[in-house]
Amino acid sequence: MEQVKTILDDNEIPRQWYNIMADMPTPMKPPLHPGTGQPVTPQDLAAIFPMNIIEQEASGQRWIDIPDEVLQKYLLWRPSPLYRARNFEKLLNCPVKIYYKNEGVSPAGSHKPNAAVPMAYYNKVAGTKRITTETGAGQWGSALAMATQMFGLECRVYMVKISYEQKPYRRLMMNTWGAECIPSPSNLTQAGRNVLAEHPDSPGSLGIAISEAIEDAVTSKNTHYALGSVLNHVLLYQTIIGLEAQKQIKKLGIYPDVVMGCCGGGSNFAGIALPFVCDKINGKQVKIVGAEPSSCPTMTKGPFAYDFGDLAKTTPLLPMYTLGHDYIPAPIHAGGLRYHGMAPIVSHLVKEKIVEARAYDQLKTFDAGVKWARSEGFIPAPETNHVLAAVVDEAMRAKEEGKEKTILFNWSGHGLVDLTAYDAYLSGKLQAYELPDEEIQKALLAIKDFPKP
Amino acid sequence: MKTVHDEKMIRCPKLGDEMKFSYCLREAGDLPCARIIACWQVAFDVTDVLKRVLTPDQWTRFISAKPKEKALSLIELIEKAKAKK
Repeated sequence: MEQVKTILDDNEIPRQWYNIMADMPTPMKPPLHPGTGQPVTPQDLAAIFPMNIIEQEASGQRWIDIPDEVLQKYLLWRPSPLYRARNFEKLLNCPVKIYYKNEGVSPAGSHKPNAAVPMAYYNKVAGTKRITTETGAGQWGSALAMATQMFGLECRVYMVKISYEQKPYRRLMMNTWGAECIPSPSNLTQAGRNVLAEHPDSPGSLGIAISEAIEDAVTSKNTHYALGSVLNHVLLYQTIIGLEAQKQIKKLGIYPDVVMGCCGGGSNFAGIALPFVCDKINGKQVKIVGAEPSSCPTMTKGPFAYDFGDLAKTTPLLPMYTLGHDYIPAPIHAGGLRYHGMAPIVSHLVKEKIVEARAYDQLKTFDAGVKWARSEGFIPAPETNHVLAAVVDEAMRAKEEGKEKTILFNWSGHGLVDLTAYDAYLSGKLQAYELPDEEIQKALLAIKDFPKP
Repeated sequence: MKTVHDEKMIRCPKLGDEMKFSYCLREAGDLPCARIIACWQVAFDVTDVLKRVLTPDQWTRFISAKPKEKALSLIELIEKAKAKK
């Protein structure tokens, strides 16, 4: 019998979170207040976050104690098991050993409660009675609904209306945990009313839902706001994943060659990766890869040429894989990982070349997810499929290079309430979009006279 | 803003949900989602579609929009909400 799971006892759970800000090799530029032009201060955020969370957002302290009350809630599902994906290894038939942290074992089915629980706790300590947030398809909203219930807080979630209608199960999870789930735009806020006045049939957007949640927090008594990604304190709380993994691989006597996670706002990637980034900064040889969604064909179909960085042709010529500046605007050239929704910490690590970003298109990710489900059994969340595509890619690279590799990744959640996404994939609604060669040639005409690096 | 691509579906990385192209076209009110080209360019010449369906003013506003860091977006929203108080 071959061992599959490595388990930590409850009393082996890490007692501190790891704060990468203490070890950043180069300082991060502080965000500047759009009104004053000065660096953002803790007071600027005090209208929506309690001061104990703001202190952590700005902290440079390397280790931050996890309160006993948070640990006690974590123990409902943590330490999460470290699995060896032996069946997936056999399927891939590549010289790789694949280990993964199963974050799908949490009550909400994803890594999100790792941050939601401490947020609810710190708000409770600070005297908050009610928390507002926004959610897209509901993964974060459901995690916060559960966490606020654990600490006796009220919770209102503004859910983007189109997802509210398309994804009833996440909404019902929130309701079951006692949260109010409001389709956004709503009539409950001025921001929502403004949108409805102009577009009565608006399907909503994440931007509108955030506006509503913040307005609600700022204008209501004893109410704060919670964000499930991007910010430093969110990434801090998620490091419990990587810290547990370090204990588990130590038990196994191994160390990964590659650590991988999928990147949306950065919280699940940071959770597995940041403790290993610390190792890398301190000299360990480890490759750290963030996988993100993309439909961009520039790396695979475009030639490496100098191109403008923006449509207005104002930036200097930059060497890049390109389909031409008339075809692809700046945000795509800049790379999806550096888009504005990404955590500044992760963007900074990419810029410093400590973390490598890779993009995978939707069909490749679902293909990897279905292969995973058919070999390992667990059905992954669609977001998790991005890292699975990266794992497949890394395994193939190992085969091509003739190198044995140990891969560790974050299996960030199950897809049992996202089966409509699999339906769309399996029924061919997510079509295999391929840019026709004539379109590529048309786009490349724009750069035919540009110098080649 | 109707196009022949309206019913095509893609997984939206912002929402974590499957969305039709018609949603992406109006995600930001009278403007498309900022990621629309990144998401759809392999499917068809989305830039060309946008140039046809957007007015010159909308097109200019769309390509001129500069993405903001999340923390700054939050602060802007806080200031707006405070003004409504």
